[in-house]
Amino acid sequence: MSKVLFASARLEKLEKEYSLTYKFMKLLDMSPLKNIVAEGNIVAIKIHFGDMHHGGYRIIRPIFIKMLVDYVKKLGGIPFLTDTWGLKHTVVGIENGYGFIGVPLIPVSGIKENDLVKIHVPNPLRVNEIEVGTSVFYADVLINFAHSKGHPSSGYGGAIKNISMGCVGPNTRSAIHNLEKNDTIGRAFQEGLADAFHAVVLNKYNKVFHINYVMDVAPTCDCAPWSDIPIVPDIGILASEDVVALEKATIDLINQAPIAPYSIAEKAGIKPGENKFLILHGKDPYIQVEALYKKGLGKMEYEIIRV
Amino acid sequence: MSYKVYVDQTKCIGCAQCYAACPNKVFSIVNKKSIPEHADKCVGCRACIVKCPTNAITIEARDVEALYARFYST
Repeated sequence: MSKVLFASARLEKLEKEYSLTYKFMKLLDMSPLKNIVAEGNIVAIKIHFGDMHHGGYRIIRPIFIKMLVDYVKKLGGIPFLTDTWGLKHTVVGIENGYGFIGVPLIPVSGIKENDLVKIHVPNPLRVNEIEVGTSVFYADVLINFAHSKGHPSSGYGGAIKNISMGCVGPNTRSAIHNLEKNDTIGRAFQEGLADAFHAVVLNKYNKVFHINYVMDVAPTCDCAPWSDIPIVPDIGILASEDVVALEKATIDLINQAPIAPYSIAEKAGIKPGENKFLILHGKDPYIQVEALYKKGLGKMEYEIIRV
Repeated sequence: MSYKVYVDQTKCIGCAQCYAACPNKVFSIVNKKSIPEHADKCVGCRACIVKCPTNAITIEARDVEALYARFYST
């Protein structure tokens, strides 16, 4: 059983220590990050810089990223923020407020996505070779700070997809998207995600930490040129060294949550406890979690530790 | 799920970076201009947009053809 730290968005008391920002700092203190980040380590923090056209706006609030950055610096690490799609996307990140955090924003694979390393996937399910961005490949530590939300190709996108699509080159993105034609439930696509994830973390044994920002759980990806009302009330932030346990816990919590009024989940008539993303997108989000589990990259059983 | 790809012919300088980058061979270069001849093969990896030096390429948001589009008015 793997431990998943959970900072709830609910304010239990009228004290700042019960607000999510302060709980997030506590979560980081309780996390294994102090054993992962060593003095002098270059730490890649993978986030999503946001939609290229600013139609989509429900992304991670910069203050949470600043708190993570400050914590990494306190541990002696040298953090930078990174995402895919070259320099043009980095500019979007600056415009979205991430340029004021005080650390470099660096494209994951160079200004035009040419800086890639080819990695052979061990025991591949769908894709044998993955192009990994050098900014992540050569970083000493990878902190995966993902926004949990829906996605039309995989039902859901969170910690797994943030790495699998967000740390690789265009040939890999294309190869995985081409798998969408194989079936309607999203199995091939999500198993492709699992292969890409495996390749990215391959040279980072005990040097990866995963965080899910389960706020503004929008129906679709941060890359879409629009945002809609989230499908559930804000849940909080979850984190674990075990991405399988983290994603399972996150999707379970989203499924258990009530439906947000005026959201498309309400329009779809979804009830609490139902597999929300499967109903909205027709893709079962648990496939990606099970694919990583099958590859030996984590455990399905989890214990939630409330912060 | 396929994408719609557009190349603004007034902006395109025919450098062929999109042609070289596209993993699915969407583009052809005709009379020193890029034409998205096989737009139906686009899966939205955005390699072309990342590389285009004149912002000539746009791809229509894939989500308009996604299953969840049924919840929105057309």
